[in-house]
Amino acid sequence: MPQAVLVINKSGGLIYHRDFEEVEVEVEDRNKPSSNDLLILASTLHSTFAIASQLTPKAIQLQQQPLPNLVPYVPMIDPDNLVPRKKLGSFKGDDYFKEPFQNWNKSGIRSIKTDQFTVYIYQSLTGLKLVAMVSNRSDTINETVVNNLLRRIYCLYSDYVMKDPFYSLEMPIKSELFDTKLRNLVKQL
Amino acid sequence: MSQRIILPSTSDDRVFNNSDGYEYTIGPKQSLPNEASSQPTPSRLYSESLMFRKQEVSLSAVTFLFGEMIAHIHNTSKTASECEVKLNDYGFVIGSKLLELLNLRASVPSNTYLRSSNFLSSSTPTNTSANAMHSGSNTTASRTVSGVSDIYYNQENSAESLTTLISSMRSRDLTILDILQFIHGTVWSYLFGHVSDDLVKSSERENEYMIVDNLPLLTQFIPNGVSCDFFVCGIIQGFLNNAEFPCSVTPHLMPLKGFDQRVIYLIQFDKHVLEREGLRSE
Amino acid sequence: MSSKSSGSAQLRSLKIMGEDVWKNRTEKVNAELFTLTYGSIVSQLCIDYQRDFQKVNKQLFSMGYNIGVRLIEDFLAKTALPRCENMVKTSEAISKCAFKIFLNMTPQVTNFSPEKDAFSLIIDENPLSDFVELPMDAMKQLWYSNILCGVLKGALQMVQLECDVWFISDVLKGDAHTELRIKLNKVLKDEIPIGED
Repeated sequence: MPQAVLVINKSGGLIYHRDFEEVEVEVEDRNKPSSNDLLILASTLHSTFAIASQLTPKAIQLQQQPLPNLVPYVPMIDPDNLVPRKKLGSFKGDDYFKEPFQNWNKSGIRSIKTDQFTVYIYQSLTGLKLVAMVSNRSDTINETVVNNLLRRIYCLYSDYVMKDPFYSLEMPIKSELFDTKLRNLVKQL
Repeated sequence: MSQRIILPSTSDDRVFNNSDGYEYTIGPKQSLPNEASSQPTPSRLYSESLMFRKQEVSLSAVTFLFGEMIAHIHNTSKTASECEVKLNDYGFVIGSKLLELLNLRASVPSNTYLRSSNFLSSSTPTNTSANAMHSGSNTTASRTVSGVSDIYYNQENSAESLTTLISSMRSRDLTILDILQFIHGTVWSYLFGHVSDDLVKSSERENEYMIVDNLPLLTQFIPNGVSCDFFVCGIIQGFLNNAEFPCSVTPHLMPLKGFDQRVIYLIQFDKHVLEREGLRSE
Repeated sequence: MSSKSSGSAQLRSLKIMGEDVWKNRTEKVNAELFTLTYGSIVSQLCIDYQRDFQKVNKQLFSMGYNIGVRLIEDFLAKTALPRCENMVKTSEAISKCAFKIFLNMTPQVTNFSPEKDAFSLIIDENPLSDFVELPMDAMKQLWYSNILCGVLKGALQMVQLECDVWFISDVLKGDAHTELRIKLNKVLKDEIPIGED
């Protein structure tokens, strides 16, 4: 399970942030980043992502055969949802998609690894960034799994944020529906 | 338009051009028999489009359109109640049309090549107590689902008019329970692809009934979207009012475990509807 | 994936993908609910603007634009389609994927300009305009399905294609076909998210 999920709009503004904790920890004990820290983190990620893309050495850019860009499909079917089967919003069936897909992020940062955790970044064609922070203690979670998760979060975003007439584009997401659905999805990992 | 060699004997230019549409300020145009025959293709509006052709669009398309309608109403209203009234009005127009359209379609006999259900052509037994209605609604439900989804018109014959298939019109619903069963079954299936999840009579007030939807199709993506359900209230109200069952309809969020977005449509009939009902049963 | 394969193979795969997503990945509803809801919106706008149909056209376009800028995310979430490298590819993605997935139709792509920067979509059977016959005063000015132009304008802009979108003809006006025109003005290069190249 990822420790945090962030959504960053195309101008680098943080529009959503949620922590997930496996064990309940006393808030005082933890060194929680303030909301201001998170805003800085989001815009820094956004600019580092852009700079990294431009740092790509020319020799690599000109290479004839780029690395394969296809993300294999990893099923994420909620067993609790099967009987009776709950609908996945505007998506038919028991999973949001069932085939490998192209990663739109070709030259930006895909992950940053520290001693403790790894940050994964998924970017859509519209410039929206979905970010997951995952502890390195988990050995089942790798880039493929996280990309599968992040595309599903993008699917949730397209339903519960884009189809909410009271949501203003590029602004912070306050929908508790999105929150609940995201939490249920993340719990499956 | 194809060339017209033989001209109809009229001085009215509009006859030549059947693309003019219906001129509502003039009213229906008189036409001589030979004019009528010179126009072999009648307006689609009066023939094939009444057929149920089982066409589908994506849930996304409908919810995006609905959301933009909400946003537009929201931007042009000053108060929340003004929003609700407007939204109700948008639905009301649709409900009034559905009363005629769905009664007409339900009149197509079941022995034609259109497979139909018993539910649509015969009125359901009238239950008086709320409990009886409650237990009865499940059996009705399953019948309606299969029945309504089966009714679709064979497209190869689409030039034929719906009315030619009807020998006698389905008799109109005259009691509260009959018409509510029709909404719970036929109208709900038509609009949302399933019968409503329950139809309940209030145990407290004589004139109150409730239609239950565990997951409202149009507002399922809208957080706290229950005020947007006034659209469906308008549809129900338009349907009932035009059938001479004047009432008011309001949406209420009533979550149950597993159904966080469950909505109850509370229907409150005007007093005289109950008085009339009392006279009929005497 | 197929970036090295031939153009026609790519176009066919777009068609297959559109059909697959429509059939297996898309929740559907009765098209008449859509038709009736849109009808209710247009007729109310005609009343609100006192039958000034130019204003109604403009309002429908702007409502469509608001939908388009949101709908593109739904489209991308469902298809994960790579960026189209030219307008020919874009036209196929619109017709065979977007129209298919949202409205279950595949308008015919035609009348490409010599520069290949503009094309037409022929959309004669359009679920927005089922049941519809225009009154005489509206026939002259109202583009009944104008919301579609707005949707395309908004959606394309979000993938950095600045386009003009407008109706050339409409069967509701007595024309032989309903023709919608899309013209690319420029690719908003500065706005393409960094990291795609």
